[in-house]
Amino acid sequence: MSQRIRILLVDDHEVVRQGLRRMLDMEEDLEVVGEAADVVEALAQVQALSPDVVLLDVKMPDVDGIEAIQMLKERQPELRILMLTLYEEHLAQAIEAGADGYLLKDSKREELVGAVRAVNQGQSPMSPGLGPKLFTEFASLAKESAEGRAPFLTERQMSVLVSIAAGATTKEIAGKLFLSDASVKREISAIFARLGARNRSEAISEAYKRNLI
Amino acid sequence: MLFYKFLPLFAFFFQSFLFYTVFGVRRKRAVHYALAVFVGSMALWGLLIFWMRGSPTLGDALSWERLVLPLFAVISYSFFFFTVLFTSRSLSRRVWAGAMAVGLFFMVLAPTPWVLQGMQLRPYGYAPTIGPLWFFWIAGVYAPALVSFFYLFRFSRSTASADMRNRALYILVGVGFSFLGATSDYLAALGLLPHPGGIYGNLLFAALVTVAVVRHHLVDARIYVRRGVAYTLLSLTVILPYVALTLILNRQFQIRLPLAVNIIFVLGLAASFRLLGGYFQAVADRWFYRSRYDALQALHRFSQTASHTLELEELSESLIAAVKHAMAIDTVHLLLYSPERETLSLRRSSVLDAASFPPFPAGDLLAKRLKEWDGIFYQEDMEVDPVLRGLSAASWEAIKKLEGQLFVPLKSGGKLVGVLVLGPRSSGAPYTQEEVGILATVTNQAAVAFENAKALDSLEKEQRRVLLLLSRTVLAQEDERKRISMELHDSVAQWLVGASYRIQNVQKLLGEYADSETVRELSDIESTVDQSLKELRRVMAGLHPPALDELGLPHAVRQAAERLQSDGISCRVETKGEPVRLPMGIEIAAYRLVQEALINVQKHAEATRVVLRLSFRADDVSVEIRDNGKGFDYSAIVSSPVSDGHLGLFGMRERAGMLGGILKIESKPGAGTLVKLSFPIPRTSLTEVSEDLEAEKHEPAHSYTPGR
Repeated sequence: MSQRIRILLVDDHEVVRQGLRRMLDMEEDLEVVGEAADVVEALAQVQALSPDVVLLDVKMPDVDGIEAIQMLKERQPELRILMLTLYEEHLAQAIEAGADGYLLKDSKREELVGAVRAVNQGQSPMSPGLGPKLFTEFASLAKESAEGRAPFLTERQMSVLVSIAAGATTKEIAGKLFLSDASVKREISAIFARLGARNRSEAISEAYKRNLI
Repeated sequence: MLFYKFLPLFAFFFQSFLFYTVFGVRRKRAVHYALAVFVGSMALWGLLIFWMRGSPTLGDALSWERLVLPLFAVISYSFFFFTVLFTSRSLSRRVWAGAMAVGLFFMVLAPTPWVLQGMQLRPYGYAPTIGPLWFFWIAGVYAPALVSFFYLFRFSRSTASADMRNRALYILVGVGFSFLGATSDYLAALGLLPHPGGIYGNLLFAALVTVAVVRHHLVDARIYVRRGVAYTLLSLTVILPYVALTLILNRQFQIRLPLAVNIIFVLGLAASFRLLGGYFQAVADRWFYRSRYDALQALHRFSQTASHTLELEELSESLIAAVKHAMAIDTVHLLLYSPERETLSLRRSSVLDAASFPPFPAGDLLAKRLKEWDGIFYQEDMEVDPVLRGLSAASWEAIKKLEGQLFVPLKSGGKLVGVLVLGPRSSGAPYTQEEVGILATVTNQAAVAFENAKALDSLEKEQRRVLLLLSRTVLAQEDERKRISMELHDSVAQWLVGASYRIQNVQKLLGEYADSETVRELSDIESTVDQSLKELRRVMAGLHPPALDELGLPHAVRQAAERLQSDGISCRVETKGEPVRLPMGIEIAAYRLVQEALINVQKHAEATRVVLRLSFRADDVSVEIRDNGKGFDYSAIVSSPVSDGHLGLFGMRERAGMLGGILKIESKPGAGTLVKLSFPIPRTSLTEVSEDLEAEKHEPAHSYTPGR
């Protein structure tokens, strides 16, 4: 008699967790060992229960789902993570972060159960129809990293970025770097465009994310 | 003796200078050509007399004299033609041709023995011996000159223009001297005068005409004087060595250059004008205008910048650099005047940091004084100016900090645009009247350019403000939609998911025990829930496309297209160029427009195929939505009273306008529809605009501090 697959459900919606728990528990080879409504709780549960598979929603109330993947994998590297979301959001990012499968919540019972088994066996199940999106997302990610080989930001843009992160105003930056206000503004626009940011705080967080500063 | 011999050469150079000056006039009219021929002949006369006087034998002298006498005819008749043209007399063609023929006749007659019998040696040098027709010839040559004198005299009496009168009188006196001189030449030859005076007359004429050109703008040749100088320099450098060589060969070795060599020399001279002209022009300009040359060059560069740019930044930089260079000073400041705040603030400076220099207080007396002041303010004058006595201490402090010597107001149409402040000369020398004049010219031009640039600047700001306000409205709307979408996502959608799972669990539990009716009912419920979920997802995506936030316009458009696909319309998306992220308001507006177009396709077009084309170019983005549906009569729809179905089109137009873009809709019944939107990529991001607006809000706060 083989061991049951131990499952942890991580979703902030109780109604979803309940439905899933019943569904999975009905299968003889599956066992929901715990539930978590947020990432902090999930981390504790993983520590305590060491499940085989985690079903994880991308949207979590406390920590961003993508980050949660990395945190969970750090705690328990052999943990298999199956993303379960309403929308096909952050698909490529999730897979890059270490998710093993990606399923939409409106999948049918057989798909869900099959995906849990598959992911436990080391496969990477995915909802049908997500393929094209995955390819385009990866293509743009690849392009970004190819661009990353050339200096991502010019030296001057880097100094401006660092100053922004330090909370300097346009005028202060201009004074510090001996540039005119207008050229500082130009550089800032260029940085925003490069980072895909819309404002200073987005630019800073994006810069941190990319390990630029 | 030497003086007697070389004076004609000097006359030649002097007259050549005049010739070049007149000939240098760009748009020459007949009067210029006549004057050029006249002056050129005078020059040639000088040169020929020089050669004649330097001849070793009487025979040589005779051959030169044979060339000199026909020149008199040319001089006299060309002067007649010049006078006629100059005094704007009308002569019939026949008279013109007659005068020409008579002139030609006397020219040809001159070297014949009837007029010029030979040469004789007089105490002063060679002189002609006269032939039997001499006095007839003299009468023929003098007649047109006398008629010209009469014309000029009449003209000088009748003309209303003082300038014209002066010019006429100068010419009259000058030519009078030349003819007196020429008369003295042959009186001397007849032994009636001890010395010929022709060359003196020639020189006097040249001097008087030069004055007329320079002081009284004769033939508008003033600016071509520099050209005259250049070519005179060129002639000097080319001819003097030649003359020296001829003299040395002649005197020391008794060698006379054959005619062929002389001709080759003249050809070489002509060629050298082309080759060396530009170089000598630059030399002459530098010499003629001295320091002004560099100044003019620098200011010329500014004029060029001013004519092609409306960027305040670039203009300021260029003006400061030009003035710095032209006046050879270190300190130049540019202050611009803001009529709204009634204050001057430092825009750019060669030494100070413009950002940290506080603006003058609003309604400051300095600006008021400069507004009503015509011309340039000297620092010394400012200190004793009665109006400026009331200036606040803070303003005096600021003026001191500028270390200005000259305050040059920039005025456009009488309105104060700004002030150019010039510091002291490093040499300590005062500004010359000429420099101040140049400054006035440049500042006039600068004022107009700055006025335009400022207008454009404020227009751009206004446009950006409108864009910002619109975007804010749209963003607020979008925020609300996003909030509703999230709420649906977090509540109803999840509940539906849970319900779907539960139903499937029940189905599993019942398994084969259930009767077929229960199973059917359950699967009906299941599909209803599924359908609800699907519909909800669609609504949510419509409310706020998650892909737009995450991946930008192309992805969001692709997703919208995919949704169309599920309705059985095949949809292809093509992206051209490098997609860039645009400000949020813009992406949303563009996306909404595409969405609207797709809804129209879905609702009205009965299409089976849609092609969506997104093109990103350097400055703009275009979106094309083409379907193969039934099309419609666009003009009929636009002119018909507004009905619900057409509001979509108006909404699309509005959004396109908000993007500052163009919306083109092409459709014909039965021929499908093409919707094409193109809009510019904004040069500044909206964040920046809001920063600008924020900054403006704060600015007055510290501009009021001094003086209040």
